[in-house]
Amino acid sequence: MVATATLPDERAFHADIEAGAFQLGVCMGKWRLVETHWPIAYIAVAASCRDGAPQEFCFRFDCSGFPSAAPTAMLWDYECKQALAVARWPNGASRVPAVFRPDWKEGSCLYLPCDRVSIEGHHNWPSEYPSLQWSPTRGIAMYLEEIHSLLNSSDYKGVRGG
Amino acid sequence: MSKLQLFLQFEGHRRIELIQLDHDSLALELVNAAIRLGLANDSKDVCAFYGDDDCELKLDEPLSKQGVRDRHRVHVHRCRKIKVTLHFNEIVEHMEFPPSATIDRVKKKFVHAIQMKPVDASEHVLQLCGCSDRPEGDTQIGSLASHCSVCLDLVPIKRIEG
Repeated sequence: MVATATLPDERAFHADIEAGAFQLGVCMGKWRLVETHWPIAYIAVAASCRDGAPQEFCFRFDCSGFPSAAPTAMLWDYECKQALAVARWPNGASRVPAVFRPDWKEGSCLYLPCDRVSIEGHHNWPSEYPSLQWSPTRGIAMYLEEIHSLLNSSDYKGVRGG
Repeated sequence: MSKLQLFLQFEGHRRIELIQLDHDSLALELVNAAIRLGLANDSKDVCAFYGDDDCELKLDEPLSKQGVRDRHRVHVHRCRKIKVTLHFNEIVEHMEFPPSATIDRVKKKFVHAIQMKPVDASEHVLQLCGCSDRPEGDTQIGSLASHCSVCLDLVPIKRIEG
């Protein structure tokens, strides 16, 4: 049975993931919704094949205030219901480790301009990375597109402990 | 009666719409759906496409008899071809694509034409000329085109810093 969303941000989130941009990503195998437990949504994002690395990474999105407020996301071990061990984090040559940073906010969010927590204090980011600013009209798919792009780039080399 | 869910984009409309039509609907229903969603209803000689290629649909024939299946992508546009001007540093290329071609397809053909190595190509994205707008790779170019043309720059992806 599907639970009825009662809060405005919860309703907006569910409308967003039922809309075309998110569903096209699902259809193309880019990502899938694992579970929602409002305001938390667990979403798995597909990654290119690398030795010793998983086919997808799970992210725990806090979507409070969606969509006027940007979500914030962290790597998540869904089976163990805890933050993903750093040894299993995605790694890469340059752009990937710049985003998946265990030293940033103790790994509690991704170092991306579209992340609600990371954008705080980065006054230069809107002008330096305008295409990565959170946009309520683009919705959760824009955040997921950026993660998917990183995990399927030539920069991505697998996991830290791989 | 069975239903088709289709991903629709159309002229000047970036948002990916998820529409539902009867399985035996005529392709003309795609045009009507686009008009309901904002396509100027004075549009003459509108064309409909499916997939990422040159498959133009006959408006007076059922979708199902023209190869359109559930969760396929469709596109509605006044132009049969979009003239795409592409820049990379001093290089300028002019290409033509159907409106249903995606940004990924345009980029793939361009980087091949300029003989950019795949590893380098994955570190670049297409951006609309004269602004910082970087459409997602699965955006159909017809949704970006005013009249029958669009201009794109191939630009490097910046590492997140600061």
